[in-house]
Amino acid sequence: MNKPEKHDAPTTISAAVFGWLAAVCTVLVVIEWFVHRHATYPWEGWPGFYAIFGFVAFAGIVLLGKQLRRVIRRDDDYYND
Amino acid sequence: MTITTMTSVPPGLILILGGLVLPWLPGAARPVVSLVLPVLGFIQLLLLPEGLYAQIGIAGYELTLVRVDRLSLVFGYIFHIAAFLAALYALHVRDATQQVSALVYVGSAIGAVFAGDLITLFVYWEITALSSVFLIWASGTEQAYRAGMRYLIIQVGSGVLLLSGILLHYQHTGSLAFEQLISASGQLAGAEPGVLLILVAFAIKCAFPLLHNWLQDAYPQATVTGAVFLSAFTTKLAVYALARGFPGTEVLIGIGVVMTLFPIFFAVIENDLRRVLSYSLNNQLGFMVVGIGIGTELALNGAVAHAFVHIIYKALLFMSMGAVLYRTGTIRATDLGGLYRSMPWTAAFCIVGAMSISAFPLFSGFVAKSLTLSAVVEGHYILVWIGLLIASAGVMEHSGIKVPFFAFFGHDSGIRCKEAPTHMLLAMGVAAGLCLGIGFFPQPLYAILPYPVTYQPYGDLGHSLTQVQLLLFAALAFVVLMRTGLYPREQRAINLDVDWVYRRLAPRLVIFAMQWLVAANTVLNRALHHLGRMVIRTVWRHYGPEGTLARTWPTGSMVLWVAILLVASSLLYYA
Repeated sequence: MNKPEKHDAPTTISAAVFGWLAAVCTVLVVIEWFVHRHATYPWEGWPGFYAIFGFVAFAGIVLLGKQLRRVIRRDDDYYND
Repeated sequence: MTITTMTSVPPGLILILGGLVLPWLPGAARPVVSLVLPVLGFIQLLLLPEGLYAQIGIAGYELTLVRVDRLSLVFGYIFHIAAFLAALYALHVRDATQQVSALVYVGSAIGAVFAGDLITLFVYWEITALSSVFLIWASGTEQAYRAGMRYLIIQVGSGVLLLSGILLHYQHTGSLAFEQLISASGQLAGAEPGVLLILVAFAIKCAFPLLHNWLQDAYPQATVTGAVFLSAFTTKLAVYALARGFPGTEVLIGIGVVMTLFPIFFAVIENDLRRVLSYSLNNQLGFMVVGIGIGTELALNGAVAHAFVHIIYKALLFMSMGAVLYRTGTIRATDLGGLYRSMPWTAAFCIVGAMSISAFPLFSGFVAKSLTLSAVVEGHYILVWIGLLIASAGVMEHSGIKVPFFAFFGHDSGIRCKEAPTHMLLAMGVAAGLCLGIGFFPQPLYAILPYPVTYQPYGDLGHSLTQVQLLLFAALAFVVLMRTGLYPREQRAINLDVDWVYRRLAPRLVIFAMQWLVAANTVLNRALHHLGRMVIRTVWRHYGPEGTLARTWPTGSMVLWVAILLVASSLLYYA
């Protein structure tokens, strides 16, 4: 690890990671057509149901958490103990 | 040792007695003894046939100190495994207080899951509270002291409620046996008050919503090794107690779902990574509580299996974060990042724990959680199913991604430290091995569950595929939110939770009430003083030296008055 390091650089994720993950996700949705799935509820049979559910639920949780922070965030020494 | 001597010693007692002897052993021997005792205890369990032991009568009460059945055995096994792993992780600790309290704590938790009656349960219940607080206090900071005090008050409070419940229950039924306490209908409405009190005591220790905050308050304040011990026993003892006393209690289903959901929002914005894990622990307990609430054989198996695998991967995650804290001196996400360079093994083990808790196929969480989810589907609890699916994405968020990402990846904090000590790596390695081993070969775990298992976690490839889709698309959402800057930045801050009520609101109310009382007292005093002065002044005016009634009357006026009175009386007499 000889490359220069930026200690206070904002946290990001490289485009390469994004690309690879997106590719894997695409493959996962494609192979859905070739795998038999035992669906109990009708919506489980919709193509990409779990994929969309995972994405939306995750994003929803994070964005709601962000709103929660506006209400409950306090300074580190709030309780002063 | 023969089987008779093995069965005459209640499980857990070996560890408690060993712990009490520990301070008299040479310092170098103590960690080794802490490691050997769980092994001895485990062998004892393997030799114990099912049944009731050590039935004694005290003051007319029939007590059964030991009940060995499939439910108590599963918890007994995993408690010994966790005790061994945590002792291995804590091999460097030379602080006798921590060593003794850890052993007594573990031993009493084991004793509690084998308790055949409620009084024995209560005794062990309180010992777990009293012994474990030293693992928090051993941090030696003012914050740890205060958090430990709050923890102790709440835990002992749970014990007091338990005892009150037991006494009422005994009065009502004449039985002290620790068996199913809820009626077969699973309705709380008709339950006797004693049973309700017992449920509240269990609920506190199981960190039910609104009663949960002692967990996130205390665990992050414990020592590096103390948190590993704490993560395994207290709450899972409560899960055991619920599974024993309240299987099929319908209200637990809803409570469990809420429990899986609310902590994930707190975990998103929490900066202390051990507190993130504490919220995550709370969310995991929710899955178990749902299983207990549904109460079918499949669901109870799911809850117990979840407790089993959860103890291992949660201990593993607390170990990895403990190692980070041990090496870097901080556990704040804002101060960490990029540690995979310095601690590659710790990072790798943490990722195994993260994938297990997220329930990736071939990891231990998957084979346990699938049981509970099938029970949910089987019972047609559609809303519960949706809730648990959202919660699964939440687990991926806080434990699957956030904890490893902000500690080991993300932006480079510039911290360069040594890799975790060998014994810590060993403990994490064994735990990680168990996570993968159970994930690949779930049958040995299924074989020790309370009820027979026919479920095949990998029988339906589609199930594994959809689970991977859910988790990886959740990961994709993380990457998208990060790259668009929508993901909330870590901040040096704390977040309010229910503890605000007793750490801020209640003290403020008391201070306000005191101030109000002082003010009222002043006003009252002033009023009384004023009244007193008025009375004195009136009396003075009439009776004082200058008062009307104290005046010296001239003789003439007296004679005049006598004459008037005489005239008046004669007039009245003759008229």
